[in-house]
Amino acid sequence: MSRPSWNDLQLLLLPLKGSPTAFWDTFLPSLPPSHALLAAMVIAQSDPQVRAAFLQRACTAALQTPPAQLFEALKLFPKDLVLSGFGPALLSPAPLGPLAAAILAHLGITIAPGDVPLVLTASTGSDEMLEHLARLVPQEHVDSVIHDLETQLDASKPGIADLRDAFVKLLRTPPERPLPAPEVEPAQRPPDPAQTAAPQLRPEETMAQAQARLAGLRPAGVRTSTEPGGNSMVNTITNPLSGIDRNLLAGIVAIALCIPLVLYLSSDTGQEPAEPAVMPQGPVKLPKFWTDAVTKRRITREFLAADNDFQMGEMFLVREQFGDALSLFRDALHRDPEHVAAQFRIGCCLFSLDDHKGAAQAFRKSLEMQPGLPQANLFLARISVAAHDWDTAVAHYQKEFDLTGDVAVALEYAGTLRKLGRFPEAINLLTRLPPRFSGHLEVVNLLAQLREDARGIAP
Amino acid sequence: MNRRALSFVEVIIAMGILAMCMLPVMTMFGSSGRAVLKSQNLAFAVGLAHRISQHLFDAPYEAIVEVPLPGNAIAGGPDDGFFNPLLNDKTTGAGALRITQAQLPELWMFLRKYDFRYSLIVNNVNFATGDQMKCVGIIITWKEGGKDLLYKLYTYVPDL
Repeated sequence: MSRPSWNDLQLLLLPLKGSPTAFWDTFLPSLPPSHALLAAMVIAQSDPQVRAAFLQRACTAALQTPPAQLFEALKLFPKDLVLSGFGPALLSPAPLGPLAAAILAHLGITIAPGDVPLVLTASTGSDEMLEHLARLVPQEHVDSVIHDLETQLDASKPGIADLRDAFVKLLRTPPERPLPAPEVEPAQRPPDPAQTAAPQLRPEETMAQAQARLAGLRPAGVRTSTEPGGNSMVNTITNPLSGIDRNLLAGIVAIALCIPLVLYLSSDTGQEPAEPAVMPQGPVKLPKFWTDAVTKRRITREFLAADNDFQMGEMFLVREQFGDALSLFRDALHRDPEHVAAQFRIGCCLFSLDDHKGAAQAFRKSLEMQPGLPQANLFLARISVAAHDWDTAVAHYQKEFDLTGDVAVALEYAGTLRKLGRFPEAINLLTRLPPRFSGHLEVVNLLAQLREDARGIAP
Repeated sequence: MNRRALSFVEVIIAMGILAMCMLPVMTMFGSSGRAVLKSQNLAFAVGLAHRISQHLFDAPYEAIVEVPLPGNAIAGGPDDGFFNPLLNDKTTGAGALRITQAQLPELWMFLRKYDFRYSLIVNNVNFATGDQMKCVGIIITWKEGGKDLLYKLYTYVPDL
């Protein structure tokens, strides 16, 4: 039997993907049975329902073709699948019933013991059919089947008793006898002794129900694809692995287990909120606090109210309405005693209102709240300068310069040092400025004046 | 050569060693992933706040009103002039796009996932007769990593 090329198969199948019926009616008759079944599997591989329909029709068509041509193709499929296709035909009249029995017998497929009485009563009763049916009975269930036949069949009906006796006789015959025609190669292997208990036939069961049950039944001697040693993909997969180094296999398994672990642990999904499927209904609950995404500070509603006052105070401060601004900053600080910026701005307002004592107190408090707060030391230095407290002023200037390294602070600090006649310190301060400020006009001018002042006092 | 397979215990021990070696790498991946997530959401919040800020200068002065916390949801929120409608590249009102699941599903999903909301804190400031401003605090809130995060931006809208 020649194998069609993949291109031919594609050309054949692709236009028909959307119309399985056209595929069946147009091409199946022109293909050998094995090719037709393979084509059916290929075209319907992604759709189990279409595939089941194809196989059903393939099995029906196969019953009408010489069986010898089909065994090779039928061996391609799992036995339970073949039984699901041929099982219902066992209940059909000739020629389907006897042919289905012959095919199943030659393929070594057995049926559930509970189905035997029904199949037997539906059979034609020919010697050939009875012999095939006898091969469908699992050997270890022969006694129970005979018991069922004797108890369930109505011997008063004409012909039933003879049929039963003939069948029982065949069942008791050793199975080594060759099968009658059709002439095919012998069955692949004897039925598996590990069988599942099939449901017993109920007398009131209809023919349609029995057909449906037969179509869905597992063959009694065939293992499922999940059982070890089954006639399934398991063999296809495990057999090639038998040639692989077991250490390598263990390593692969370990890596395969580690990859999901690594992916899980490295993912951030555990910390992300789940996607809501629907919009939340009702009022949204206010959280106790938020986290500022920039400063990481805890934000409460009180803080937001205080910040609002603070922002309004800033507007008044820009307009140089220091009294109104001071009032708003104090409100902000009252709402949130930890509002550093409000504390600092209170100092600024008081400084502008010439309340140096109060301003110094406010700046010191802000430094206590945030030791590295910029400009607080600068204002304290200015307050000290105003009070002619030079040492304290120099100390605050130095702190501010160390904190910020700002050129404006350096110029103001150097100017104070110049007033104090401490020219070398001032020169040293300005020369320590970062290189980017070396060309700054005010820096250059002050440095020149300081050097001139220094030369003037030199001996 | 005496070659034998690995036992299950040996495989488990090897996996444990591998996991311990991978721990710093995994931690690095996890922390960098969180950092990316945070910066992504913060940048998004900044963009939202600035969009509101720009629309405030375009809005009628009297129409700038408070939106109290917890604020309006941005995804599927009301027609507010800030986000709904979001854009309109057509010549008629029928082309206006809103942040809804039907019209902008990806944006809607992102905003819903982190529950982005906005609030407005509005204060009138009167400096003198005819000289007034509105101090508007734009609050963007969202949920991230089990936390309620907030970004605030203040803008001042003069009565021109």
